[in-house]
Amino acid sequence: MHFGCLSQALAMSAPLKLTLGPLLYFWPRDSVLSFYKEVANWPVDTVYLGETVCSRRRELRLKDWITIGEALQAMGKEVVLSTFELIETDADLRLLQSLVNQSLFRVEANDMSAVSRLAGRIPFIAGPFLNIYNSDTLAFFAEQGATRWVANVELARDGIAAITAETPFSIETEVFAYGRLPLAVSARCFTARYHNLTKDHCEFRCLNYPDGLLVETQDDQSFLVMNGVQTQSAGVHNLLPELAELRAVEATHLRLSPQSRHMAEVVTLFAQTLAGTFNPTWANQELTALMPDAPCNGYWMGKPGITYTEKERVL
Amino acid sequence: MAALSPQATPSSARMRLVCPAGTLPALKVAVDEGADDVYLGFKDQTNARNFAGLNFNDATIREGIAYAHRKGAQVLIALNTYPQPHNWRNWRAAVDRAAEVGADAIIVADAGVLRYACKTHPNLRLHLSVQGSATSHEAINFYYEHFGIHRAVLPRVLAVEQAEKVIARTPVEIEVFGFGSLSIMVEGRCALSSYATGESPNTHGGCSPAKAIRWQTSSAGMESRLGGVLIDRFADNEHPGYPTLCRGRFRVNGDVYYPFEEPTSLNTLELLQPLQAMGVKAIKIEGRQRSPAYVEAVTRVWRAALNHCAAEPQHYHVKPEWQNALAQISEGHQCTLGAYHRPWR
Amino acid sequence: MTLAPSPRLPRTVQKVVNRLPRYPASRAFTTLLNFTLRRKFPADVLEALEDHCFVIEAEDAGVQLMFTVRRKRFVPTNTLTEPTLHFRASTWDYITLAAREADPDTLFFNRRLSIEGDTETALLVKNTMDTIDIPRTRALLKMMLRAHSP
Repeated sequence: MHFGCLSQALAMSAPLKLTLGPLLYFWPRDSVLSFYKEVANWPVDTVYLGETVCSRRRELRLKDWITIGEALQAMGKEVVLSTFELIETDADLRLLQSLVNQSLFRVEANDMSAVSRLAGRIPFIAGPFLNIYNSDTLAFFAEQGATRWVANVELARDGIAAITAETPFSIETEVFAYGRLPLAVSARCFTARYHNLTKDHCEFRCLNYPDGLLVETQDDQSFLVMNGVQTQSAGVHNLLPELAELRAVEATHLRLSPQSRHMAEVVTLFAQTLAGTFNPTWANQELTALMPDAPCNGYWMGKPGITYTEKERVL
Repeated sequence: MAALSPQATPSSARMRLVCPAGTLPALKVAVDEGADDVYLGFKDQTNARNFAGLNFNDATIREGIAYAHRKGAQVLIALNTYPQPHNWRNWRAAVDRAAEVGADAIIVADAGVLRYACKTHPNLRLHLSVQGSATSHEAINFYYEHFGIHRAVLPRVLAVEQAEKVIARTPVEIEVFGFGSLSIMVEGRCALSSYATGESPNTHGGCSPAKAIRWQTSSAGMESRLGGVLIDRFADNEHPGYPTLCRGRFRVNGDVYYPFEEPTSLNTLELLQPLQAMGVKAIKIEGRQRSPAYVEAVTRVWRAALNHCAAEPQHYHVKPEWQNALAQISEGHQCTLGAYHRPWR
Repeated sequence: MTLAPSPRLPRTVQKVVNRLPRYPASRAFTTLLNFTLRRKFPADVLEALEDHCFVIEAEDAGVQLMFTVRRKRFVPTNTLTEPTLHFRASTWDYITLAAREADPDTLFFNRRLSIEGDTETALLVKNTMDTIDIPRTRALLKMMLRAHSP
C-alpha cells in the first residue's frame, strides 16, 4: 500500500473506535472489580463483559457483571455482555437465557444457540466464534439482527476488505487487534490436566495463571498458552502498526484483549496513536515492551498466525 | 420457534453406518462391506479432507454414486469448510455439482452455503457438518428452522447424557462419531493448524497440511515439525504419530508431556447399545484420508457390530476380534471412548 | 497394541534377490511399473512426479530400487542425488501393501514403513495408489501371501 492510497483512506473513513474484549482469563474477584474500576476512565468506546470460556469460573455472577456494566455505562461506555464460546449443558443454556433476558445491554453471540435466542428479536453482535468467513454468511447474520460482526481471527486483511466491499448494507466491523489469540476450545480442561486434576474438581487452578499457562516446544519455542478449556497463542497479536490498513478495510472497531499487567498503557498507546498524538513507530516499540510474549501478526498478512512481519515504514 | 415434538424413536431402530471414502476403491469396499451411507468430497478446498491425490472428480463421483445406488447405499458429499471472499463461488458451484450428479445429501457447515443450497436446490437433502459446531438442541433447531436440515453431526465434545438431551429435543436426525482419529478440540472452532501453517480445517479443508510437515532424524531421535514448529520427538522404540498440534508433545514448566491429548483413536463400540437406545440415527466413521484397506477393515467390524446391536440389543457385547481388528489400524493403537465417557470430568 | 513382526523373506528368495545388481533391478521394476500401472496413473499426477527421484528399499532382501519419472514414464536412475522420497520396509510388508492387505498408515505408525522426504509427495503417491484398481494382480499377491503366511 502506498502513501496516496493511505491518505485517501484516512480522509474517507469514520474514526476507528476501541473496544475492550471480554476478559478471557480467570482472575480473583477483587482483581476483576478493580480492573473494571480503572476501565471506566480508559479511552475505549465499548467494553465486553462476562465469562466466555468456562462455566466453572464463578468468581463473578451475572448480577456482578451487570453491576460493573451499569457503572461503565454511567461513564459513557457502550457495554456488551458476551456469551459462552461453547454451550454444553442445560445450565449453560439457562445462563444464556438470563443474559438475553436482561434489557440493559446488548449481547455478543458466540455460538448458534445464542443466535437462536436473539434472532429476529434483539439486535446483537456476531462474535468472533460464529465463523463468518464470507459476505453471504455475514448477510445471513445481518438478517437475523446482527448490527456488528467480529471477524474470525483467521481472516486476513484481504478477506476482511473483500467482505466489507461485497456487503451492500451497513454493519459495523470489529477486528481483533491486540492480545493473545483465542485459537481453540475444547470440552476438556488442559489446565486441570496439567495438574492431574479432573475438570469438575479442578480446584480453580486457572486462578494461578492470569495470562494463561505457557506451552513451549521441546526446542524452547514459546508456542501456545493453556487457558482452561481454551487454547491461545503464546504470541501477542498486534495490529498497532496497521491502523491505516485497518481503516482501508473499513474496520469500525478494534478489539483489545485484556492482559493482567499494563493494560491501561496498552489502551493509551492505541488511543493516542489513533488520535495522531503518538508517533506510531515509537508507540509500537513501547507496546512491544509491555507484551507478555513476543508479537505476532501473521493472520492479518495472510500468513501463519505465529509469524511476525515488521513494518518497514510506519506512518 | 416452530413446535418441535420430541422425536419418538423405538429403541430397536437400526442405526445407519456412515463410512468414509477418499477414493473410488474405498467407496466400493465400503459399499461391499455394508455401509449404509458413504461420504466423500470433491478434489478442492470445499471439503475438510483436502489432501493431494485424494477425493473425487465428476467421472469418479458419478461412477461411485451409480455403484452405491445399485447396491442400496447412499452417497453424501461433504462441502464442509468455510468459503472465503476470494473463492466462495467455488462452494456455490460445488453445491450445484452435487445436486447435478445426484448426491443423496450434502454435508455443510457454513450458514451462507446452507442458505444458498436451500434456496437453489430445495430438494437436496442437507446435513449439518460437525464443523458447524452445533452443540445444543437450540443451535440444531435454529439450523432446522432456517435451512430445513435433515441430519446434524454432533461435535464429539458432548458426553452421552448431553447427546441424549439433544436428541430428545430436536426433530433433526442425529449422527455421532463412532471411530477414527479425532481431535479433542471442538470441530469448526480450532485454528491451531493455521497458527503454525496458515491453513486450517475451516479455511483450507485440512489440519496439518502435508506441505508444512517435515520429518527429520536428529541425534535426539526422529523429529516431526509442522510449519517449522517442533511437534514431537520419538525415541527408537516409540511409534511416531501424524504431527497434529493437539497431539504434540510439548513442555509446560519443565514437564515434557502431551498437554492436550495422547495420540489415540476414538472407538465407541462399547457404547453402541446406549447410543441406539437413545435414538442416534447414524454412526460415522472417520478416515477419508486413509486407505481402502482401512475402510474395508473398519466397515466390516462396524457392520457386524451394528447388526448384532440391532438384532439383539439386550445381548449386545463387544467381540474381542472386533477390538483386535480395530486396534491394528488405529493411530496410536489405543482406542478410547473419547469425550463420550469422561474420566476427566 | 503393536503389530506382530513381519515375516522374513524366504531364504532362497533372499539369496536370489541379493545377487541382482541394483541398476538392472531398478530397470526391471520400472518396466513392470510402466506395464501395469502407468496408464492408470492420472496425467496430472505423473506431471507432478516428473523428475522426482524415488528409492524403494527392502532391507531384508538387500534391494534398493531407484527411479524417476521422465515424460510420464518411470525410468531407472543410478544417481546419488537426494531422493524426493525414500521408502524402507520389508519385502513382505511391500507385498501386503500392494495386495491392499495392509494399511500404509498402520505400517508407518508401527515403524514398519519408513518414509523420508517430502510429505506432500508421499501423500500424493499413497493416495494415487489407493485410487488404482488392479484386481487380478492383487488377487495373485493375496494368494502368494496366503501360501507363505506364517
